Amino acid sequence: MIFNSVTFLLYFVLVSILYWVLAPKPRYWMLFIASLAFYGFWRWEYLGVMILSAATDYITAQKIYDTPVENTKKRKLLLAITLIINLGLLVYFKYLMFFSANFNQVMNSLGSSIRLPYWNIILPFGISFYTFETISYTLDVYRGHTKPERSFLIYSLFVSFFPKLVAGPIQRAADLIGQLRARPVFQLDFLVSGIERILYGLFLKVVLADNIAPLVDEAYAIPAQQLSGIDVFTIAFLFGFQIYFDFSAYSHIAVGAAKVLGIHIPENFNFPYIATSLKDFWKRWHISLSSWIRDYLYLPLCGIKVVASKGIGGIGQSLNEQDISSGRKNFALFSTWAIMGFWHGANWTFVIWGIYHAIFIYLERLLKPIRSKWSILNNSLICWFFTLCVAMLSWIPFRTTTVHETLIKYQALFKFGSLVNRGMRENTYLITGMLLLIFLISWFSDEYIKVKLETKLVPNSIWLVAKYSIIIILTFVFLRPINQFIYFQF
Amino acid sequence: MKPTLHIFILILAITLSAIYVNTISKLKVNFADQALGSETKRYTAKKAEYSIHAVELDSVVYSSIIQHFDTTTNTIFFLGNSQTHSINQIKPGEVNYIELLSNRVSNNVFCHSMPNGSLQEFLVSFTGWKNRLNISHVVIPIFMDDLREDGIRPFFIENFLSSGIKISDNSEVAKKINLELDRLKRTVIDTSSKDLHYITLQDRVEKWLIDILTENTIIWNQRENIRGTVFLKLYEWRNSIFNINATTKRRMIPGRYKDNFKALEEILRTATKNNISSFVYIPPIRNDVELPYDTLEYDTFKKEVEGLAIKYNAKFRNWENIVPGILWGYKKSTNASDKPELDFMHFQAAGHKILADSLYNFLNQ
Repeated sequence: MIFNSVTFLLYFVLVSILYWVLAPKPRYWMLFIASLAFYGFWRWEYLGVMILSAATDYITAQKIYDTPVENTKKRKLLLAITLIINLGLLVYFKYLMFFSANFNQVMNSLGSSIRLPYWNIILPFGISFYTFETISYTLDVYRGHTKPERSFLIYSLFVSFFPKLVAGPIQRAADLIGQLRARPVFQLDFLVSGIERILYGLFLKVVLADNIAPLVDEAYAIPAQQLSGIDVFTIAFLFGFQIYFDFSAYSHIAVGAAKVLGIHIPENFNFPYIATSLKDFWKRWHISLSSWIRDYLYLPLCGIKVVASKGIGGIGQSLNEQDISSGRKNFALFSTWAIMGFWHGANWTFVIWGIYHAIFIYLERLLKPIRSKWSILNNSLICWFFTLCVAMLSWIPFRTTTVHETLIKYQALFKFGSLVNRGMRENTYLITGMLLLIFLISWFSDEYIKVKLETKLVPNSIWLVAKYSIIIILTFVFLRPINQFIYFQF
Repeated sequence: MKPTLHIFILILAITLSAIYVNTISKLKVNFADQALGSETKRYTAKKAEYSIHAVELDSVVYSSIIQHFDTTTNTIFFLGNSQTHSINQIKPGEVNYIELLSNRVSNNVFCHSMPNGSLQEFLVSFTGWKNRLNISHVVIPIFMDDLREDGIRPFFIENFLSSGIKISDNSEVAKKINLELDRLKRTVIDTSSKDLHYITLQDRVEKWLIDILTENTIIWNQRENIRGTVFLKLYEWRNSIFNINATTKRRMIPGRYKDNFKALEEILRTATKNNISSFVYIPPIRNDVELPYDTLEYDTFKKEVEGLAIKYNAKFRNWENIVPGILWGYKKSTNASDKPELDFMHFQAAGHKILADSLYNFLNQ
């Protein structure tokens, strides 16, 4: 089901009412059925894939837990089974067509007539998200960070909980299962703060992201050869804002919908374009994914033992970090980012996107000693501006469909003779500038004005009435399920 | 803040929003008039009461035109933008240059004009009509303004889209246009005919709910108008803030300029291949004030159009100065003020007469 639709709004009202009027036990069943219906509104036949992934981890996690720690072989075998099934599903649905197309291309260039068939496979919504959740659950049980959930209903609810099912935030089992088991009692605050977040999310999606989308489509349809440096910068920023509004909108609605049901879902965004380094950026952007990747991929690749995983940003609790050689750290960095890119989509452009981030994070590490000597390099404004440009330019391969076009666009940044030739309508540059301004104003007001205003009842109330009214009017007028959320495709 | 106060604020905001939306939904806004300005009105040509002039082209408009049109007789096909289908300070009985010409020439006359139509849209239109009418001549006005446009707008070629129109050429611009046509067919045509084969349960339920809302509420139906009003206000604010008006100089956009020229070349090449005589002209522009273009760019543009016409044996004329300044008018302010602005595109009926005479002589040479 798409959040930005009349169908969802009606569905959500019904589910929320039922949720709070039902007793705990039937409430679980109702929520589970509602979550399956939420997914089934897209394609019910793909529910089986999700249930297979959930059931695999439900069974193996219990078997791992019941196996004595000394029996490493059996525990590893069980872990391997769960990884093979989950990653196998991901490979089949997400990457098989890509591998087949690449294999055929290689064969063709070698002059061989061997060809793999072309499989037309539909990617099930949310598969990248729920497989990560089920994998992390089993890994947490394997590591001894959590106990397995004995109730299949509660466990399945953790996997299928509809607010975060299709595009996250990626949840940790212990966190969500604990809350589901705690049986929250209704509070008016749940309703108010939940509705507030849903309104924000809908506004970001239907008013901002969906209205930027045609501009982005038009800009990325221009042949790369016709773009100058300023054009590439502009389209990078424009898509950067579109994907931010779009994805953070989804997260706002997910957090808000869960909140109405008395469930706390961790934040996925925290003004990412205000970051002063790429490391900082990844503590603010898609926080649940970056922390997942850190705990289950990067740290193990570094050879660091994770002693506790937490689904929030920043470096998790780990041991022996100091003993790791820089070579191994760099290998882990580049491997992690290549995989992270590939997770986003079956295209080499996403791998370029990942490697791009790895290079700049590596450079940040490399330049750390120099930065400590030159105070100007630590100036917040300079760091912010540089990080903003680097982060925004990383969106070029993310949105461009071929490696060739991506490289041509990056080349344009170094053609100094034609750097400022404008290849698009003036409005495109103007709107991009306005979006940056809107972003900075909203950050500034959230950071400084909101705190001061909250202490003054009357001005704050007037401000809230005005803000909500504008948001409600514009959301009502622009609400159309014309575009899915960008992250649905991942 | 206490949750009770917070919920009161939310309810108050919902109430205020409902009152505002209800009020604004009662305002009647004619967006066609807004775009042309209050002095200028749309006029499409007719012959014996039947339309010989298309603008938006859906299947209903197409059927009503083709039903009464003799597709076997030689046809002079005119392309155009809003200059073709608009008359400034129109008086009863006045008609545009297409209708004036259709009353004078022995051939059939047909016109397809699109406001701010890019030459890529002209190419799609020409390709579509070429297969449906017996075109002997094609007349193409080349506006500097329209070379700043890009892309294909579905509502001007909807009927062709549904029949799967393609540009039969391997050039880069043809590939680009074909990709866009494919995309539009998938997203506009296939989506609007989803009633026949809805894909997901969500689609079915959403359509059902929207049908209920559309049939039973006035406000829901007015949302499109309100969206238009919002965009119009944003446009006016932009113009006010950045002091943009009709006389502000518009620069050429290299990529679009190139693509539109390639599209023009494709029209001329196709015409030559199909033994269709081509006529290309620089249309009249208001000449009693400074032009809203960079002089050097405008001169280059005119030379390049002429060069391309010569290359494909098309007849060329520069008529930028044939309509005197007195025959032009004003348009509604494009910013938040009420001050009218000079209209560089649309002239009065007397201007249409001058253009019709010039075209008549041109076609008869």
